[in-house]
Amino acid sequence: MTEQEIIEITNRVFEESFELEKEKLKPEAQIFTDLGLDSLDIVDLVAALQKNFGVNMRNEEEIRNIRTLQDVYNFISAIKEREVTN
Amino acid sequence: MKKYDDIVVGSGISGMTMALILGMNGRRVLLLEKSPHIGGSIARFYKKGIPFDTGFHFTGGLQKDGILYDLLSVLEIRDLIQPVFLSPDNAHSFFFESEGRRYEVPYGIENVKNRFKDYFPGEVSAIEGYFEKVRHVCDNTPSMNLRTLFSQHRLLDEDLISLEDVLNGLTQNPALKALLSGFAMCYGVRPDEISFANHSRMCHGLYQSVAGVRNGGSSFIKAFETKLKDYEVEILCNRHITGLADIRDKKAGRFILNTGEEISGDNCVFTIHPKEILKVLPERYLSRAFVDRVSSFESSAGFFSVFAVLNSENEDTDFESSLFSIFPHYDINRLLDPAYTGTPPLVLIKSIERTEGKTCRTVTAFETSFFEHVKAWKDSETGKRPQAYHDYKKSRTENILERIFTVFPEYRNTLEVIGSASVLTFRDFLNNYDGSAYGIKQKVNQFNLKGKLPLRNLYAAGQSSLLPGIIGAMMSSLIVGRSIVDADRYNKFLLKNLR
Repeated sequence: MTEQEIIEITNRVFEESFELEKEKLKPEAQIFTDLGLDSLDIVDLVAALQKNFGVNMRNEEEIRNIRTLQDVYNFISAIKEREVTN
Repeated sequence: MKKYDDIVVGSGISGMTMALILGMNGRRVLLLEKSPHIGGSIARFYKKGIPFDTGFHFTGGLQKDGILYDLLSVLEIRDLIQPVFLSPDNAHSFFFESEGRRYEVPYGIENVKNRFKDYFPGEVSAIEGYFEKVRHVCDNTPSMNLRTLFSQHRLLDEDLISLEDVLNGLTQNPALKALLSGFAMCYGVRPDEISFANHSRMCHGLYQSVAGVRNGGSSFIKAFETKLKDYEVEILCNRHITGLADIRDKKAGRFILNTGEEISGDNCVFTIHPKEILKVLPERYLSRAFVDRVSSFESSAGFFSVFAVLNSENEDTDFESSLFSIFPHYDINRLLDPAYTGTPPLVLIKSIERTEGKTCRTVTAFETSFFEHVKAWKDSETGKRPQAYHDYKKSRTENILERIFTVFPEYRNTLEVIGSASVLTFRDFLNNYDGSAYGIKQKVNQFNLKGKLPLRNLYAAGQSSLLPGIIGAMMSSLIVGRSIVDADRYNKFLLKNLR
């Protein structure tokens, strides 16, 4: 999966699952302030990402460190990479 | 308008537990129940003077220092519940119709292991490996030992892998695999869908001991009623929440009931089905992601039940309280698939009931069933169902009896059917969302609805939020209690009655 595909799918999840406008979805956007999610939305975000990427995302340590949209892209890239090497 | 610290919605075993925990911690609590009586599916019913349980039949964890023993101690109701342990040597029998083979499974972990090794001498390392993995999961699940105060819960690797995958890594023996996953009937999820960790958490207690309770589910309800009264918990039946009002800073201030009454509460804990919770939450406070997550939960298996009693004059000395599971073949995944159209698994629960001076020997049969089987009549009401539905019940009952007589031919002239229940019966009599026995299906990689909800003073507990069965349901309330009660106070409360 390319970097671009990861960005597109992630952004689509934010647009559709949290009803956010495309313009807001910049890599540096802070998900808790700029995008208005709160800590309890993270479970829903992870469930939606899991479904859309067909991956398993239970590394809580990494999830807890997510702050920006770019962090989400990186998080998924890392999972996808691990999938390939495994 | 009446004001409470906490409102608890639903008075099944998790709701009663939640209300009592909060009451014991000095809070002013209201318990709401949609039905005319509290208890939910733990309640018994009587027909022709004979008691039958609907949802609670047997459990693990009632042995000294077992998880349920400890839970009852914390709630100060242990003395009110009298366990009736099944015979340790053959509490649970499994019969595979395709092979005509019967296996008797004892309890006590070492006994279970040794019995399996006797049955499968070539599979010693698979059996050791399986029980070692089960132990590993339970040792590393803090909430399974109340003394750890279970403040942290981390997922284990075994939470991310299915029971099926673990078993396939251990053995290729289809009979052993079927026996090790046969307890799936106690949670209603296919082995390739449940995580190995959750399977282990639910089976561990049943490997240690299997017990019913004197007077069945009624004794729990009675015990809770007594204690709820002691702690001044108010109970209102025939009530449910239809709307929320005064929503500020993501918190609900007022709760509107079906009767038009309005009450206020600082917190509200829903112990009902997640999809029923979704109906109460105002849409504009929910993200699409949240709605999608809750909507995607599937149903666990349900049952078609036949309630019967043995009427022979001569005392049958062989009759003892026990479990007897009949599987048509070894493929448990297929057996728990709603689309499966072959012969379903059938569990017989034999029980000796002493009531009003007489002794009854009851046999309750549970054949796996799904909402899909009764969908055609889903909009019909109790007492007004069409003839086709009655024909369905009659033919299923007759089939079940024939299967019972194949295994117990001596019952042919003495077993009297007292009643039967379909998935729709369970749905309508218990006010249960879909008639399933174990709430939502617990799947690998699923995020249950538990703890805080999108409105921050609302919480979810109950069997669907954690794990099915009496232990999972009660434990879910103990976990939510930690979010509501001050930490120091809560720890003292947990430890006070644990020796």
